[in-house]
Amino acid sequence: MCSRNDQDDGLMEEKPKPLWTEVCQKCSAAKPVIQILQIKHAYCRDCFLAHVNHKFRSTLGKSKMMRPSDVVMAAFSGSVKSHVLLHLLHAGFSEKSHKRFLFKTQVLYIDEGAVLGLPLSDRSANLRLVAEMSEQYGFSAYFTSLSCQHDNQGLVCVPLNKDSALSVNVEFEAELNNLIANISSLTAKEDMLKQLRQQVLLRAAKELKCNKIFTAESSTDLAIHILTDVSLGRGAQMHHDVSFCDDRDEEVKILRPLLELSSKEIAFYSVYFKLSSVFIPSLCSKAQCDSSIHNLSKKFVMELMENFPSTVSTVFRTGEKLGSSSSTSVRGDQEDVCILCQVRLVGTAAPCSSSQATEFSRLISSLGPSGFDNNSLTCLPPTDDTFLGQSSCCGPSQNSETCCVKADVSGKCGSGQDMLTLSDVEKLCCYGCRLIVHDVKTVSGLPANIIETARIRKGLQSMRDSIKDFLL
Amino acid sequence: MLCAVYEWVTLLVLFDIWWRKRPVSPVFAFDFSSTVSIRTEMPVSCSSKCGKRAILKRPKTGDALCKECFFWAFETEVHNTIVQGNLFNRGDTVAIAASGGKDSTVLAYVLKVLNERHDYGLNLVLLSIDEGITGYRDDSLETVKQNRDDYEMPLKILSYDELFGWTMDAIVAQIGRKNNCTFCGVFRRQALDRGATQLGVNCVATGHNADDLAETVLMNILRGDIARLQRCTSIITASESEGSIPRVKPLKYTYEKEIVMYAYFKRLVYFSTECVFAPNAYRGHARAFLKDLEKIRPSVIMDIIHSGESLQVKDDVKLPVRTQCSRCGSVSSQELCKACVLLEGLNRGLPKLGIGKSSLANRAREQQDAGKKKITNCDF
Repeated sequence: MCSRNDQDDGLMEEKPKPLWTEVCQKCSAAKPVIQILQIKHAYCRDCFLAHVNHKFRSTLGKSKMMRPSDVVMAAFSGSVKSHVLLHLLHAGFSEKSHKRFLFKTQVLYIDEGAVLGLPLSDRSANLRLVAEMSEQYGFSAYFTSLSCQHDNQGLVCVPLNKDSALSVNVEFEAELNNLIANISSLTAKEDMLKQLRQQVLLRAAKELKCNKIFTAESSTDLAIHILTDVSLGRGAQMHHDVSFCDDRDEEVKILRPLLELSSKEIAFYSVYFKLSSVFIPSLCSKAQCDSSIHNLSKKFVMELMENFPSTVSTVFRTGEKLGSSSSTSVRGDQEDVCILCQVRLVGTAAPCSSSQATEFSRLISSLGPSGFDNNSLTCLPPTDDTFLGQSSCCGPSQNSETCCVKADVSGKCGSGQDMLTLSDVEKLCCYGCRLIVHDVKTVSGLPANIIETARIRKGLQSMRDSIKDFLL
Repeated sequence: MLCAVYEWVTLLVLFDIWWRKRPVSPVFAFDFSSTVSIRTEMPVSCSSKCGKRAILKRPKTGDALCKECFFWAFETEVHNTIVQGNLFNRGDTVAIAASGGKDSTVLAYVLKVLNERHDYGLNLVLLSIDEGITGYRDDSLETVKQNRDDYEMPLKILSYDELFGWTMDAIVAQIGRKNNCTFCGVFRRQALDRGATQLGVNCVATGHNADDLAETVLMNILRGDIARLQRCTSIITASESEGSIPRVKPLKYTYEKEIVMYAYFKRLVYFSTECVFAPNAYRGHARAFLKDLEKIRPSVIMDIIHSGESLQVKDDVKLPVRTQCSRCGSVSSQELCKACVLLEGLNRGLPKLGIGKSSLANRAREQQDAGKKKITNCDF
C-alpha cells in the first residue's frame, strides 16, 4: 500500500542526483538551464518559456469556456504569481492574429492592508507599485478595498493609475478590523478573509460587468488548498476551490488558468522575464507554522516535496477527480446556500455521520446520565440543519454561553425576533463556515450584508414555521 | 464563611489568569470566554451538572466530565453509533478483531457491556491473527488470551504460517525492512476474512478509531487513491452483495485519546508496544501532520472525517471494478488479488513481484518462466 512511496523514495536515493542532459530535450540545440518534471526534462531558456506559455494557453483552450465576447477580470495582488498571469495574458494579446485572445481583460487590485493594520503610507506605496506594474501592460486597472463589503450600496471599484490615491473609509475599515479581531483563532480568521476576498472579487466583477475572473493559483497552491480544505471540513465544496472553474456564482465564474503550472515553473518564468513583484504581508506572514491550519498544511506539503517530489502532482490530480455529481448540481433557490461561502446546503445529514456524532457528544456531555433519556436515541433530530439547534441562545455549548454573556452586557438577550444570535447564523452556514462562526465572539462584528441576509432568512423561516400546518 | 473565602480565592485566581492571558490589543474588553477555557488550574465541576468534580476534558467537545459521566458518555456514544449505523442485527454472531492493543481491548469490553445493557442479543467471539513476529505478536496474544478469560468470550487464533505458509519473520528475512508492512497488511486482511468464514460469523468488528480514519483520508489523498478515498469512511464495508463478510467500525467516531482515557480509568489491560519492524515512513508523516493539526483545532479529526464522508467524485472518473480473484475467490479489483500476487512473489523467490507496477511484475514473471524453460532445455 503506502509503502510503495517508500520504494519510490528508495529509487530516488539510488540515482545520482542531477541527470542533466547535454542539450535541451526540446530543441536539441541550446544548453539546458532548467529541469522540469524533476529529472526527465531539461529545457533551455526559450523552450521553457514557450512551454509555460503553451501550458497556460492549453489550459484555457481545453476548458472550452472562453468566448470572444467575454470580459475577464484578472485578480492582481502584486505577487509573483499574479504578475506572471498578467504577463501571460499580455503575451496572448500580442500574438499574431489567429492566435490572439479575443476576450477583453481588466485588472483588479484589492487593498487588504486594513486587516493587518498597516500604516496608510505603506498601503499607498504598495498601491503605486501595483499601478506601475499593471500599467506597463496597458490593461484598464481598478482597485478596491476589502472593507467595501461593509458598504451596502454604492460603487466599490476605483480606476487605478499612477496618480490614484488610496481613499479610506474610516468607518468601514473599523468594521473590518472589528470583524477580524472578533474571531479568536488564526485559522478561522484566515478562512474568513478568504471568503471575504472571494465576495469582493465577485462583487467587483459584477460592477465592472465582467463574467469571468482569473486568479493565479499554481498547482502547488492547490495541493495545499486541498489538504487545508479537508482539514477545515470543506470536503463537499472542495472541488469548487481546487478545480479549474468555480461556478458557484450564477453570473461570474472564477477560473484558475495557472493551475497546470508548479510554483517552481512560475518562479523561473518571472526570473527569466525579470518580473518585479510587491510583497504585501497577510495574516499568516511571519506567523509560526503551527499557528494556523493553513500554515501547517503549507509546511507539510513543502516538507514532503523534499523527499517525495511527486506529492504535489498526486494530490493535485486527486483534487481534479473531485466534482459535483450530477444530482447535486441542480440549482436550488437562494435560501439553500451558505450565507458565507454560497455553497449549497445539504438538507439532512445521514443518520450516522461525523456531524451527527459530534452533535450527539455535545448533547450527552451537557445532559449527563440523569438528564438524558435513552429512548430518545432513536428520534434524534436530523443534524446538518440543526447543529447546535437545540441549544438556543442560552444553551449548553461554550459558544452560546459567550454569546449570551455578551448579549447580557448590552441588555438584549432574547429580546425578540430581530435579535440575531450566533447560533442563528450558524444554522445558515455550511459545515466549514460553522467552524468559522464557532470562533466568532459576537454576532455584531459580522459584515452588515451577512447580518442582513441572516435576518431576512431567519424571518422567512419563522414565517414558514408559523404557517407550515396550512401549506400543501 | 469558608464559602465566601473560597469564592474570593476563585475570583482572584480568575482575575490573575485573565490578567496574564489578556489580549494585548487596543480594544480592552473583559473577555470572559478566554478565562473559562483555562480549566486546569482550578477545580471544575462536571459539565453534566451531576455535582461531582470533573477529572478530564473531552478532546472532542471540550466538555469537562467526571469519571462516571465519562464512562456513561463514552458507552452511550458507541451505542448511538451502533444504533444509527445499523451495524448489527439481533442474533448475529460478531467476531471482534482482537490484536491485544488498546482499540480492540476497549472495543471488546464496550461491546460486551453494551450487549448486556441494551440486550443486542449478539454472540461475541474474539478473532486474532498471529503474524509470526517474535517479540511483538507472541506477547500481545497473551493479552488477548487474558481478554478471553476476563470477558468470557471464545477466542480463535489464526496464523500466517498455517494460512500462507510464511511467518512475518520469514518474510522480513527475505524482503528486508522496507515494504514489509505491505505484506503484513494485505495478508491480515485476507486472514481476517478467512477466519471469519471459518467461524461462520455475520460480521467482523474492527477497532478503527476516529484518528485512524482521519489519517486514512489524508493518506488516500496523498496517494491519489480516489476509489479508497470514497469508501474509506464508510462504517460498514459495502460487500454484502458478493457474499463476503462485512466489516464494521463501531469506534469510528471515538477519539484515540478517549479510548486511552477509558482504558486508563477502567484499568483495562492492553498491550502497547510498537511493532518491532520499521514503522511505515510515509504514513508517519501523515500521522505527525494530523497530530499537529489536532493541536491547533481539536475538532479537526471529526472535520476531516466529515470531509471524507461528503466528498463527491466526478461522474466521468473511472473507478476500478470489483471482481473476484481468479485464484482464491476473494474480492479484488484485479485478475489476481494482492494477497495472491504477494504470495506468488514469495514462493517464486521474487518478493518484489507485488510491489510497484503490475507491468513490471508481469515482465519479471515472464523472465523467470523463460529462464526456467532454458534450464529444462539444457537438461535433456
